Amino acid sequence: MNEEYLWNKTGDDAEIEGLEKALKAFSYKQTAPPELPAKTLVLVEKPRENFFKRGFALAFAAAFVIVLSVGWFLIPKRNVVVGGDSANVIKPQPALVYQADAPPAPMIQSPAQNDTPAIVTVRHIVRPTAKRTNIVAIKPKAKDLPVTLTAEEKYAYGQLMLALSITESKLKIVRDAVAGNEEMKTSVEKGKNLYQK
Amino acid sequence: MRSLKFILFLALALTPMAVAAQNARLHFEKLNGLETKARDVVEVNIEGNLLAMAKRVLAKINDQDAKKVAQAISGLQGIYVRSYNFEKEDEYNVADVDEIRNQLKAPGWEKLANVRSKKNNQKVDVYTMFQGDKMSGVAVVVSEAKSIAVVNVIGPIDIDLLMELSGKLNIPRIDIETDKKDKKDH
Repeated sequence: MNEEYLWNKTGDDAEIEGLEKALKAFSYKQTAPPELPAKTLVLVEKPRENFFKRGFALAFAAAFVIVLSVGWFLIPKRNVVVGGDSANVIKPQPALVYQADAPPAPMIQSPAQNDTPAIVTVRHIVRPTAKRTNIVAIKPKAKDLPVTLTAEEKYAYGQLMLALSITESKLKIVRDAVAGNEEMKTSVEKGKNLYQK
Repeated sequence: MRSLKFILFLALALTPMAVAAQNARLHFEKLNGLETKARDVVEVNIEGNLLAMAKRVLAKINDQDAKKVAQAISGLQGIYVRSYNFEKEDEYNVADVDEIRNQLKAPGWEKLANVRSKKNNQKVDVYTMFQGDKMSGVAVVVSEAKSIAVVNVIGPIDIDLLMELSGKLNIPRIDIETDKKDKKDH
């Protein structure tokens, strides 16, 4: 290898020239500087996940879980009574809602006939439609209703009240009189007869 | 023939009951005529259909006091009241009242209590009659200088409950709505 040709390109060296020819395609060629394309690509930074959105989602999920939990406890569950005696089964409370078609009676599964305490399951079937209905049975209080009386009824009622009132007032005289006399009071209370000979 | 025997048996069985009930009935004939002398007169005879009607009215009324009254008189068969208030003293014959007190000396009547007070010459006697354990009659005779009152109750009555209703008997709070027929009468 000719060192002069390698470093100063003086003289000649066939080996190096051969390599130069082979690598000529990769030699440096000074060309115009590259230009940016006419279409500008704007790189937008991907926004960070919104903390509030995530918080809202978490709150929503928590609320959903709470609602489910509350619903779970509010929905009438199967009443479970421990004990073999069916007489101890707690009767489900009657619904206060008017139902056009009467709800079926609670179904009671009879306990197993053995000596060991059994679990008696009472299934109270409540139709959801009955709960949702807005028709509530409002029974008017009879006390609020005026009593319609005929003249004869008024007379009879008045006579009875008059008689009872007089009876009560006369008995009250005795009661008031014996109130100050303990001995007599006691005898009256016991039904004794102090005055009978 | 069997039915005849049955009717005969019923008649025999029920007769003592009817007689017993009648035994508690006092006779007020001696008091007749006092209404012309008295300033205020109250005479009440309530029995049979009239009493049944009054009981039905009580049943209609949805009032606690009315219910208690109905309970107190549920077995009641009759009440007879005579009450006379006079303007002056000694306007009635004491012997007439004593005659009624004498009726209460008959068998079956038991004196429950009596009150004697010199003030107004007050005399109050309360008698009861029992058939076994069941009350069959009550009699209250009250005489004062200017008044007489006799109450005769036939059948059982809850005296304690009646006393509990003291002052309320005239006012079971009801809204009495007279019917059209009644309004026409007035």
